[in-house]
Amino acid sequence: MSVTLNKEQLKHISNLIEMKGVKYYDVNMELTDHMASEVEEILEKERLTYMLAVKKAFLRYDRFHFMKIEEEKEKKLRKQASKMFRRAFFQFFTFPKIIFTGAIFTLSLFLLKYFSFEQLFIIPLSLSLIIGVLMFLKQRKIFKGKDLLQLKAQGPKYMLLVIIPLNGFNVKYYVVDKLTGEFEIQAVILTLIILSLLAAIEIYNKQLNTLKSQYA
Amino acid sequence: MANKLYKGTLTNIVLKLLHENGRMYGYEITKKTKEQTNEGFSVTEGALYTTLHKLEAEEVLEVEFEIVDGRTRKYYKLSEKGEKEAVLKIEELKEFITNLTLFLNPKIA
Repeated sequence: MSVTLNKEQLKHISNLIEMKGVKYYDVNMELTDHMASEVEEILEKERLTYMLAVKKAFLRYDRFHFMKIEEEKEKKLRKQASKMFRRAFFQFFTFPKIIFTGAIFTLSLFLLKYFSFEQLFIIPLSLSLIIGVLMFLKQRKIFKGKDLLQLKAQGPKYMLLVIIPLNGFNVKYYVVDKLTGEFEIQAVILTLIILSLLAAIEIYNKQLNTLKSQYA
Repeated sequence: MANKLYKGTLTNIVLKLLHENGRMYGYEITKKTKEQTNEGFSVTEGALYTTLHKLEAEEVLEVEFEIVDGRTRKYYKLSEKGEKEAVLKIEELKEFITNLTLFLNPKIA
């Protein structure tokens, strides 16, 4: 006889997994399905109550088992994000996007004759912060309280608020200060910062659309 | 001991199963592995999901979601890149087994 768990029982299993340290909806959802299938199989094969079947299924795993799955997934997602970022960024140096890159560089070079690097750097920095906040609000509206690990690992915080501005500051500190007055180098740096920002936005939008079709 | 030995081939096992069965979900993969090996291999969930998530991040696997028995089920299937990788990995595994058999039974060679 086929056994199917009801809504309350599924919620109970999901809560148990959460109590074992799995905070994110996408990971919890997959593990809940796995454990529910295991409990259903135990109930089909043995004459046990639901609670005893749950106990038997969960006893097989140690305290940190579920948490480790989540941690490993986060590492893989971060690695994937870096790979996607590199791919999107280097696209700006291939045809036809290289024309756009050339235009950004020329514009930066032109503007540097009238404004300082610091004044111009404020533009991509503020843009990245504003876009980061807008993205965060957008994803909160779309996923309505569902905390997704994929968004944490590849979301605006990681892609925009950390990578780009910090790299911008580092570049400024280590390169620009040592090469003052070199408009061409400053224009290259500004262009790279803008391209990083655009690459991050492109990846984020792609990820968001995929996740929307899966979890929203 | 056998479980320790097959850990290194878990990716190949997953790719082979998906190559043969189209799409599968995590629990189904653990069950199928046990069935096909007469319970000889017991896939641990930690190792299985780590492998699945790694292959998903590498774009070897694609995912699909479906509501089954009141809960969301995540199915894995091979991507175009994954299909090519699966064929290659299965061949590699067969070659490895042939070589290992030869090593263990030098008389055959």
